[in-house]
Amino acid sequence: MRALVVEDEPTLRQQLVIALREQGFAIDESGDGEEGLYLAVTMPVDIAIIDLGLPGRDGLSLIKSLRKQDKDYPVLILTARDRWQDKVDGLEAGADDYLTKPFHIEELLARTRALLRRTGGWTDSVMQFERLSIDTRAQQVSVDNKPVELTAYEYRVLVYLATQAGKVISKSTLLDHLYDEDTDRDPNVLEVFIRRLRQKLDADKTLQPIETLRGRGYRLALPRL
Amino acid sequence: MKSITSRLVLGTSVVLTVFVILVAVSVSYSVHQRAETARFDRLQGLIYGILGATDINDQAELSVNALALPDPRLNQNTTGLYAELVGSDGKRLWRSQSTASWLPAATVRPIGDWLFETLGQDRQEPIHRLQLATAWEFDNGEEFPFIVHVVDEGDNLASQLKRFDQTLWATLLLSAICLLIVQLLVLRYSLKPLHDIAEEVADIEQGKRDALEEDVPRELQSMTLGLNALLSAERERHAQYRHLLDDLAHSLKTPLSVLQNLDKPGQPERTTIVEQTSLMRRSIERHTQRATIRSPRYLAPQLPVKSTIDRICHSLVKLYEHETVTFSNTVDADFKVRMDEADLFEVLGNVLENACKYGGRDIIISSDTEAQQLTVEDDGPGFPDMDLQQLVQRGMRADTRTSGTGMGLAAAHQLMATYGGRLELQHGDRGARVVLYFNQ
Repeated sequence: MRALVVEDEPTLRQQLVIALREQGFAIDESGDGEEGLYLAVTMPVDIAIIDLGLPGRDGLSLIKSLRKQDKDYPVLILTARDRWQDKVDGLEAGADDYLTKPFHIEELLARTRALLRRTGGWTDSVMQFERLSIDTRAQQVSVDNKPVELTAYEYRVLVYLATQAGKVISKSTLLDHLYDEDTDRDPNVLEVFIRRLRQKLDADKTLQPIETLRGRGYRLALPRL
Repeated sequence: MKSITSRLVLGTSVVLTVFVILVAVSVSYSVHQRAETARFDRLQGLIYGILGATDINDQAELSVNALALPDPRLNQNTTGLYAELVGSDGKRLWRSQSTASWLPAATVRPIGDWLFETLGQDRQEPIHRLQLATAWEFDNGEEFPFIVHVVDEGDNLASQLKRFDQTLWATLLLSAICLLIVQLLVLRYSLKPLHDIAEEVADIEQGKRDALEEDVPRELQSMTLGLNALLSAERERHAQYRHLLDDLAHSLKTPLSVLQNLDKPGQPERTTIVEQTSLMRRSIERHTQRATIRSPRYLAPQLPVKSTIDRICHSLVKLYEHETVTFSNTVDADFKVRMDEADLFEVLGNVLENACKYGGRDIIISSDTEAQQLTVEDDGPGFPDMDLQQLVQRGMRADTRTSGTGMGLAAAHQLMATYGGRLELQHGDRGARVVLYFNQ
């Protein structure tokens, strides 16, 4: 998952970035509205966390602009203004949720997960595919109710494929959504991760959770429950 | 007397009435004077004429040549004009052929004295008489005193004067009425700009316009310009106040977020950081909210409630999507309230979010335009069985299941009170019911 963080207060932004990275997000960050908009429309963002009071271009106009350019990923507003008129203005501009400052990072992470879940059409924090279940709150994966130990990267690959369940995801798209800009992206490494993921989730090869479509990419093919 | 119009009308009416009375009295008086003088002059001429026709012989016998008399009426057997010569002993020496309906006796006066009198005022036709006491001087130096007495009753001057007076009063009364009407029209025309301003102020109060028309008569220009400046300064001050509060909140809340998130398990002084930051957070919230509540906007416009509710519901559906909340907004499109927009959003937002937050799935919003009353009813579990007024007290919450500071309803309640309205919690038929009574 790739998150865009636009917040002008460097310390707070750093806290957000660290917390989101810990949750397995690839991050694009900016402290300026104009640069934020550039990242919002050029990067393969899955969720954006945008402060309303920004230098360069204010948050509301940033959200309006990215929506105008058909970017439909969820947007979470951070604002110190907790009046209803401001909330309605923000939501009407195209945001999906708001969080008033001061907030706890845990609250922000919970809202982020909820928004991503909602985008995938899930109402609960547990995504259930036949025998496979992914608890996004506990970051816990289990098959037949038995927990499966995954590394952070394996978990990220699985969650991304799960939120896009049924769709074919190319290797480059997957890499875009998993790695920060400055990371060395090697498609071969991805293949290794997928192989290990298959082994861990489906040791006896009865579940077949991830399909490979040659030359096109991967797909989580399990039906949703 | 509170109306400028009635003051002006009363003042000018009094002035006009006094003026008309004074004019009538003085004109009438001088015309009457003039008539009296003319009458005296005529009778005096007659007396001189009679004297001219009078002769005296050596035996001191007076004779009057009838043919030489100045007025032929004296030689006719008619009544009206009568003349006589009376001796100093009161004996009549000569009388005209004509007579009068009644004859007052001549009075003896010192020689050379003129006496003009109007007698019988109580009669229908008063008579006017002029007497001259004179003496005929003989060659030997002796004098023969006698009185020339002329009585005139056929004089219709009195009725003419009466007619003149009537015409005078009628004309003046008519012109006074005309003047009064003209004056009312002029007043209306002159005071129209003031009426217009009063109407514009009412429009501003109702939110139909923002400022007064500045194209007004010179005398009112400084007032309207001043009022407009005051209005815009008030609005600016209000907006500035809001911005300052926002800036203050923003500048405090962002670093507070940072501080709050420094809190890591196992960190020394952890509890102190947690306690102090949450104390700061609560103070900021309480004080900014209190400051907002204490500054209701002067001359707030009239705002349509239905569209504001629609916008808030739309936002709430977005926020509570997973809860599948439905709103039925049956509020009358004409239902308007006088409130600052941000405050109206605050009241409605808090009440509607409260309905979603505490288990409402089907929320019905209805209005009674006449009573300026808005009802929000949900199908949730309803309010607990307790003194409902306590729930709108600051910080009190009906349950602790749902996140929130519990200030929503209290803030809405306080805002309503600031605008002279009230918020009432009721046990509804389906769940909780909140009734907002807006100030009429």
